[in-house]
Amino acid sequence: MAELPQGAAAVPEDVQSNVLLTTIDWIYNTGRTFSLWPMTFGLACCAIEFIVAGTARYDLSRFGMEVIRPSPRQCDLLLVSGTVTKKMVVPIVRLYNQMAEPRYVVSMGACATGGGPFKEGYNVVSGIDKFLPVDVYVPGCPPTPEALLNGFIALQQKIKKQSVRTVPWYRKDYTGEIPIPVLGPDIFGTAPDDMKRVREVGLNRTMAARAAGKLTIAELHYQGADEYVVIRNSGLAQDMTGWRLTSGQGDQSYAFPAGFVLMPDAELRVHSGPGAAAPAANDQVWTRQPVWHNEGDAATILDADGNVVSSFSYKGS
Amino acid sequence: MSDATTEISLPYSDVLPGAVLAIEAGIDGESLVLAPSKLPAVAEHIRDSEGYDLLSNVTGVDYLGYKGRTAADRFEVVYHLYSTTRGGGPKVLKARLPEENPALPTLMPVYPGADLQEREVYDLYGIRFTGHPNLRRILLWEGFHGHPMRKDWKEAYYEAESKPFKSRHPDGHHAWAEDRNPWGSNVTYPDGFDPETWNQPVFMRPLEGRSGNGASGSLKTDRIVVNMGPQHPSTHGVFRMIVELDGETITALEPEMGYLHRNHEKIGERNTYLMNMPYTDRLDYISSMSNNLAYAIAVEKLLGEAFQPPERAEYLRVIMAELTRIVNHLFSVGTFFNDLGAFFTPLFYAVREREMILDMFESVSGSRMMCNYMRFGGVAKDLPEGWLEMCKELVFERLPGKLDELERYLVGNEIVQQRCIGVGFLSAVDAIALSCTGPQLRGSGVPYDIRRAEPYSIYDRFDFQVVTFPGCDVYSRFLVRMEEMRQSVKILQQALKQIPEGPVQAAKAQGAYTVRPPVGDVYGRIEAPKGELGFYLVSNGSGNPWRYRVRPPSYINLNALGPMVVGNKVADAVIILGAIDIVLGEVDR
Repeated sequence: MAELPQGAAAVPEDVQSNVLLTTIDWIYNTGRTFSLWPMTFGLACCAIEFIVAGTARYDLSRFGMEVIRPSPRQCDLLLVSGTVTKKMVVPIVRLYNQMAEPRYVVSMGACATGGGPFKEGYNVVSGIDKFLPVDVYVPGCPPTPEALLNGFIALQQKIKKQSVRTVPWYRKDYTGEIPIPVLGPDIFGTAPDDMKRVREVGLNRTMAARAAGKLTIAELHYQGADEYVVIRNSGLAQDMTGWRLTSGQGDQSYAFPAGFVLMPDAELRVHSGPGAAAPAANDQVWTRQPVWHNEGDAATILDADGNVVSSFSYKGS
Repeated sequence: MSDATTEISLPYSDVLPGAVLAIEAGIDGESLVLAPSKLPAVAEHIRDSEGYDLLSNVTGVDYLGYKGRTAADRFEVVYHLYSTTRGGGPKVLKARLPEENPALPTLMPVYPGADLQEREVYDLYGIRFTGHPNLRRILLWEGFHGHPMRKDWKEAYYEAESKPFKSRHPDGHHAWAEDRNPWGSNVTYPDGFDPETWNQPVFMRPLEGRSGNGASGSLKTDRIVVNMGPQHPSTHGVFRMIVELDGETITALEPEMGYLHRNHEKIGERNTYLMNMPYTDRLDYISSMSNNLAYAIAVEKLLGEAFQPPERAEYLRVIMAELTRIVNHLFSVGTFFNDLGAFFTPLFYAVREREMILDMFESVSGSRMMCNYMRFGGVAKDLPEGWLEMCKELVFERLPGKLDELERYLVGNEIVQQRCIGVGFLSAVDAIALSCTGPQLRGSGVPYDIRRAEPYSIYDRFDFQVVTFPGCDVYSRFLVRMEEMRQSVKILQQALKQIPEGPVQAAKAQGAYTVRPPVGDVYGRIEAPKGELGFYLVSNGSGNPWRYRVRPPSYINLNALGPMVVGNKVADAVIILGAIDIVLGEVDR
């Protein structure tokens, strides 16, 4: 070794030619710098330039990177080479989590860096750095193999400046796991903040839709021993105290029990006839007498003020 | 073609009364507007009695807000049929569908090749194909909200509202469109979406139960399902195959794609015509010049006579397209040997000349891979000085010897033959029925090459052979590619000798940054290295295409993947896929 690190202890003359003194950091960094194993993982156009960078003309092997491995377990370098779509980012994050530390991410090309020409697409993630920590960005569309090599050299320089004592992956509290995003109606992260935002957007829309929805008579089964009316609530929760259900032909009226609340999306059945029974919690029994005429009838719901909320008529069989 | 007078009776009224509702005259000739329910019957009649045996293109169009259209005929599904025996132009069928619950019968019983394209139309437009056996989303994932190619679908990340600034630096501060429209905040969720209770739907269709006893006879074997991809070295990108294995034998296969679906067609609708040219580079990113050519030809058909390229430009286009074919086939052959297990060494040999051609592309267009060289009515720039001499040296001196060398190393190799011959069988009849084109079709012995069947540009002037091999297997497809490179060299030699001096862009096209083609629709296609590359464009007279559809050859060739793979060993699935020669930029767009 021509240059000894500063502060190195003096070595006896007779063993000088057999001893090599250096720092742990130097050994550690040199080892990692010249054995970066990239993963065989092509996304799009840039991957072709990556393949070409491995061939004879550009010869990636000169930099200690010729061992390209298909398994993330054996790799140090995740080269994100192309447009990251929402559908693809889930496997990418999973692959990153499967890599052993130390691990590095190079974002190759405009798409992986910021979405590139496809940034505004509905299925495109505008940059892998929204999900993964990126070490080096290589610009270009696609970057030429020379530009990619330059990016790799930049990464090597970065690695050479790291120290065993400060790198994050030897700290006690380090997990390094990136939460895997979920493909829902759109992609969303699983961090608490993301979940909160998604829930707010989803539920606010629900509230708006609910406010416009209302309570309706959905079905009327007038035949058989057990006749029943199905009332469905597509609006907000409704207190039905003082509400009535009336039949048009017989001019009969049923008052809902006081304090009865029909929840959103819930169904209520009002049974009548000799076989009337209330199997579910929401079900009500009106009377043991038949109410609905088989020749045709009309049912109406009136609210506490006597306004018609919903009506339903049928012609009979 | 009959003259479009009003008194002619509607076709097929004798055999299929009421099937054809109207005839529309267009740039591609007449198109028949059909009653949706009669579509399969008409298609079957046309296929059997008129020989239109290749269902080339199926696409949907959303005419919401288009002049003259109402909610009753908002959607349109367009079919382009061709004949592999006669050649010539298309038979265009259209079916118009209402806004409410658009549905029409599937064409799969007549043309099994409609499979993937119908699924794509369903995915992007929400048009249902009744009777389709596997009508699921294909490019997007199950659970995605809405059908994004519809005109009224809200684009979450499109920054139009936040983008137009008077100044990049109002009041001395710069503003980012991203800050005004942060990622993930502009999304549409379905009503009541709750992320806590969301269960991601399963991607895979459960494979049908088969007997547990496989080919091994009395030995009881279990079937296992193996997932290959999207990160897999053999899939040439982010493609996923879900295979069901009985031992080493594949009993079922389900392709899963869309991992590189980057919304090419949606972006194409908001771009001007010329802005789409660099995007076409990124379709099949191995052969960008061919993509340019196909798009330029389609738009020129729409624009009319004034945009026909001058003589020198036509020659330049042919030269670039044929160089691209060589580039593509070299790369395809090289990666094919990767798949075979000859890891990287054949690729090293194959890409050496590819690099030379890419250098020539770079000197003429400025970029190695994304050339963006063609323009409507010509090409972007004339050749730099000395380019023709370099090209002549390459084409006359270097490439023929190179192809001999590759052939000496690869074609006669015993291991290659052992691995390839008889693997991935696809009969000629099946290949046509499954809408295969390009080397895959010619490797099944069908002499169908658009350069010969419906010549575009100036291909009718050149002497070349349509290469076919009758083996119907992986080896034949490989041989077709090897031989096609020789034919490309032959075309190049003729073109380089004949190329005249002169302008490289039509006079009217020079400086025409925003072209506004007349109202109409057009389908332009070329024989790209991977098969029939077509562009279906609908113009409403404005500067942006109303519909910009790419007919991607490798996507549609994947129709045959399942039929070819089932019954082979799992290692053969890799080379069968390699021999289709897919590029995911084009498959997923």
